[in-house]
Amino acid sequence: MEKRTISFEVNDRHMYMTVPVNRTLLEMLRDDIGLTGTKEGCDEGECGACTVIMDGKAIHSCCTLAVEADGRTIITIEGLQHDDMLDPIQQAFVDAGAVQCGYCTPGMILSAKALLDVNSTPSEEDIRTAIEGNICRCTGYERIVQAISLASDYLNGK
Amino acid sequence: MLKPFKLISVCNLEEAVSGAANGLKIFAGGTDILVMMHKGAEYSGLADISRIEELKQITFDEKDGLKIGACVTHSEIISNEFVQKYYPALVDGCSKIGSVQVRNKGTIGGNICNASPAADSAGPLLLYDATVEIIGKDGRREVPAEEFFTGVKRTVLKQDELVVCIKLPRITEREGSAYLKLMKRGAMEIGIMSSGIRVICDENGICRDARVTLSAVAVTPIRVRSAEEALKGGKITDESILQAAEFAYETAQPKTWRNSEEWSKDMVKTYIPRTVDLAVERMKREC
Amino acid sequence: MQKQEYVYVGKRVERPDAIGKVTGETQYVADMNQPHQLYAALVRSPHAYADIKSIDYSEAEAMEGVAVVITGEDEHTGIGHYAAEMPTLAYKRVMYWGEPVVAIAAETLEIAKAACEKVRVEYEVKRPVLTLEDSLKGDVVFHDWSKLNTHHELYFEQDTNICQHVKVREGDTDKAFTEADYVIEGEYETSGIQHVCLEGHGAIAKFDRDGLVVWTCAQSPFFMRGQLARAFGLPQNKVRMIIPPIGGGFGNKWELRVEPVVAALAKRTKGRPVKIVFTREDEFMGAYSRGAQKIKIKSGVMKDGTIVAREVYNLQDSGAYVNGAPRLNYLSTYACCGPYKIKNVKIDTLTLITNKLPTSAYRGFGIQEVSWACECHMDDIAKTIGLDVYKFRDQNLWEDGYTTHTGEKLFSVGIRECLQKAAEGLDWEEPYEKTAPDGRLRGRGMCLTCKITGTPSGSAAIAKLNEDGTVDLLKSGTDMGQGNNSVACIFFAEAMQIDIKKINVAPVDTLYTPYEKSATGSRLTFHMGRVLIEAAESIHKQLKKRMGNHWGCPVDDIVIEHGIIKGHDKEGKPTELAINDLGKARVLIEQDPIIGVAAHNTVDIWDKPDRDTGRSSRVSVLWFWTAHAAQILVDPKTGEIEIEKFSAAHDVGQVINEDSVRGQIEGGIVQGMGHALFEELEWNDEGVLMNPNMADFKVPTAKDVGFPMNISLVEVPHPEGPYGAKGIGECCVTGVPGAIGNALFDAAGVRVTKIPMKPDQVYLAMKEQKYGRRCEGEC
Repeated sequence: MEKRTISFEVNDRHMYMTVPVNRTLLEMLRDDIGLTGTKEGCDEGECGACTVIMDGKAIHSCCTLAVEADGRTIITIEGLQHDDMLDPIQQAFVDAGAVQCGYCTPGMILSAKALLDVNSTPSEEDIRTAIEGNICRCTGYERIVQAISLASDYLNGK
Repeated sequence: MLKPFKLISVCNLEEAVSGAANGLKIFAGGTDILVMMHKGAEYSGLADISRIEELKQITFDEKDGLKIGACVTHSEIISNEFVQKYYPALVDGCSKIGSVQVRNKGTIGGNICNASPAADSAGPLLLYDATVEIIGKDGRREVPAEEFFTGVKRTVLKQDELVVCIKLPRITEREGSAYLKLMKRGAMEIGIMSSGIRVICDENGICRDARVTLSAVAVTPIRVRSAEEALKGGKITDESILQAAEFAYETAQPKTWRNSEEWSKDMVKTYIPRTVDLAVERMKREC
Repeated sequence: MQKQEYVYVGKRVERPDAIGKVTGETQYVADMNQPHQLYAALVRSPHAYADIKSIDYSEAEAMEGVAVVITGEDEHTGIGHYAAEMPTLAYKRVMYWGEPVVAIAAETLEIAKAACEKVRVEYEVKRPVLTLEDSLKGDVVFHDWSKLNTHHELYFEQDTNICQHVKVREGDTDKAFTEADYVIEGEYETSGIQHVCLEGHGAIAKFDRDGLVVWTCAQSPFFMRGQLARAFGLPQNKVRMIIPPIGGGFGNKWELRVEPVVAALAKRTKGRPVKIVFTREDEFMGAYSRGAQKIKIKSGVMKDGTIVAREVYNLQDSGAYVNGAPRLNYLSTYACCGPYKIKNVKIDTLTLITNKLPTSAYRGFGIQEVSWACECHMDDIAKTIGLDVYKFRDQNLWEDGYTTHTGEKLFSVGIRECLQKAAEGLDWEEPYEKTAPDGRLRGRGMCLTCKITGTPSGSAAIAKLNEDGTVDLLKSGTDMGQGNNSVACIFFAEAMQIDIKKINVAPVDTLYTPYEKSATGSRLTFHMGRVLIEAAESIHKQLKKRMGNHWGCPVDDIVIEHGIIKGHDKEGKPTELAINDLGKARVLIEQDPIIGVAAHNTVDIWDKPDRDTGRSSRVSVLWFWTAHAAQILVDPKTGEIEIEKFSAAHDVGQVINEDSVRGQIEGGIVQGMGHALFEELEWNDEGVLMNPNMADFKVPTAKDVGFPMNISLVEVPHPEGPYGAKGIGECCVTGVPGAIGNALFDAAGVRVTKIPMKPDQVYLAMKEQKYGRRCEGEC
């Protein structure tokens, strides 16, 4: 299998990796780098559990080739916490009781981050659109929507 | 887990054309191809065109209208101020594709080349008389969007060809357009039936020209000329709308296992009036 | 019971697992690996019903990196809740599309998958039996019940496809029907669906001379351990189940699924662990599902609304094997007449084998189906006779002291309060516009649910008080997201009167943590809570003894109140110590270690139901009571239903963690809405699943919800429950389809008798409606 060497940044860390071209970004993150916070839920872009942020945009890492990350910046769930301090979005998910089984949570938080990074005061509709591709089977989304709204308050110093 | 394949990252259109000529599948956002490959589809190789700058441009010109490079993503289209201002039906369509994650990677070129009868960018392109610019071994050619699709998952593209850009002519002064998609849930839906309407009126409110499109109810996205004629030539009235809806209904031939075909077909009659209403409302808002 | 003031119980308590889940640190099975591990992949059947003529795996076996290949010839030990029946790998025949036929372990997953493609299986394809009617007809009988090795009593009918037939007989329905003012009949259906836990099944097995170790996402570690031990001929203490956090269960992880096949492979790899993780496609092809049901109900009713007789005839699809379906049959039989006083009752619930995906537990376990039927039927009766749907229910409701048609004298019945609260949540008394300005039709409906929990069942807990005053809690109730670990901490902290932060919950591991029946049936809060409180009380007893030694004070003089241990010294001078300061005071060092142990089974209260009549003076340790009410808008021109408001009232006995209980209910309403409106496993005539993916098997997205949910927590304490608590897990979904279906009936006058109520079905029903409100304008 043809391999390529790529260079990219993941969670503020610059990396070089040599990967086969049929490797997905999800497989590289989980199996090669050990960032298992990113989950596989469907492997066909229908559940959002594998969501990561690439160059500022939420994407499905299961439907992205690892080689597509060449020269790009990736943020995974492991990149949010700084010095034991939760990111305000993570803190809001804890505070709002938005976590149940937790399998959708990393992808959900990254979709929220991609939204809040460009829109710090989203409407409920904006929030629901931002997470429309992230399936949660436990919470009914209510507390997740509340958590993202709360995160926006935290980020705005409220 | 994807089966092994060859990947060529092409830097310019010439390389892309020669890749295509050699049987490589053109790869841009990957939102369709990788899903199909996850499900077992096998390609001898992919030609990655996503880093060709020319394909990533979206430009607007007062005279020539809008030009969208094949690798422009749905998210970029939706957030473009000119698209929002002049081509609202394209915003309607592209914003209903998949989810945010899909729209952030999926490209308009990929959406039309995948040639699903339900493709949500296609109906709006037909509404705006778009043309598709194609490049191949013999150079460039342009094809009206309506002629681009030839069947389910089939287009006019020859093996050595790929789409460079899509051109949407300037819209006229007094017009309104809209695209509505029938969905079984609020997001991430393959269209069941979608309708597009564009009406162009004169200062007296007489409908001078119209476009009526349907998606997912034929082997390709289609224009319904009989319905367009029904709207043209007079004021837009309940009667003319019902007449247009009736013609559209007769044209629709949905084939699906996913839901009742009778329902899909009946929905044309429900959706055409609703789409006309939205298009007319937008026209009034603009004037 | 006097309502007490609690420190933790009923409060909002942060879940101990939340931080690990928001940071991505939590390790689920798929995230784990074992040294020198192999990877497994399966060859699945492309046919729903076929004989296996031959399997040629020589090419696969010869591939570099392939460690072991097995087929049903090597490993067909039966597994199953009731009978050792479902083979680990298909043996001589395949019974459903997707059934695993060959398993391969290899150095990498890529090699294992590539090797699967090299396997050649020759089938003789047969016509599958796909409907309940065809199965009942019995032209093909799949199993010889008499030869089954059963370990739970199975009420099968020999020479048929009926693996379980549960009956209730009370009074004389025939006579009552002739005397009734009205006899009203209805037939209702539910579709097969799947749980769609975001985490698919996964397991790693290691098999060596020390026995079998399995890491798996299991709701029932001990139940699985017992079956694995039996299947592999090992003593139970040579089978160890280690359960990491679970990414959603909803019943799908109740029974063995991936464990036997990785164990069978690992048995042949000289001690190398074997890992398998189901993809989404694997889940749809080969995890468990919820079977379809067809329910006929006939009721005899008097003009004044008294229900005098009811017959229920329910056909339930078990799928290809028996598995846990008989349990579902049993539970649903006790719920299928609803919480209503009916003197003459005849129920027949039949579980049938078909060539479809095996079924098992799914949140609500048959109750959603029978609630759908019973409660649609209640509104159909009300409409026919001209009764108010609220009053008609209210006048027939069960209440404390009433003896049911199966002979059980009820207590702690919170259903009437649930009905009231659910109605209040929708402003039931207030008039509402029947037509919205946009032409959509508005309607309201309600659905009541009663459900028992599986009885008898056992629980145990061990609490180790450490020398520094902290506690390690050992219990085997697994947390699949429902928040059981949080509830465990609350119970223990409240009873021990200790700071909740001092408690650590040990990971579930059958080698260390004590027996627990399962994390199913909404049973954990009740059963686990009881033993945790008992364990805390045992610690208090031991503490008094240690403090007596320490202070030189007779044990009987020591009391513990509000977290303070009070006694006196040798001179009689009062002395005290806060439980939270035990560590600081160093009183636990060089003393007898303190371990609280408690174990209990509800067999003592259980009266085994009579096989012919279903009679039992106590069929379950507790009943759950629920009322759901929905207000909807339906578009007559599209058939689309929008929920405007939803109201849910649950008798939980006592709230334990308010955040968790509300989170469960909100999630349950949305899951129930998915069942009501979108979700359906669709099979073609060959028995091939048409929609084995999340694009075509549609579960609700964030865009489908956002309607207000008024949730009422009714607290009618259970005298035997921990702090009066009952449970919540399942009934948050059970009434949702019924409430929406009845709201549709109210809005449009159309009775859609099958869920999901997809827009095309609703539209066509409205288009063809013979009665009720006609939709305005063009339809």
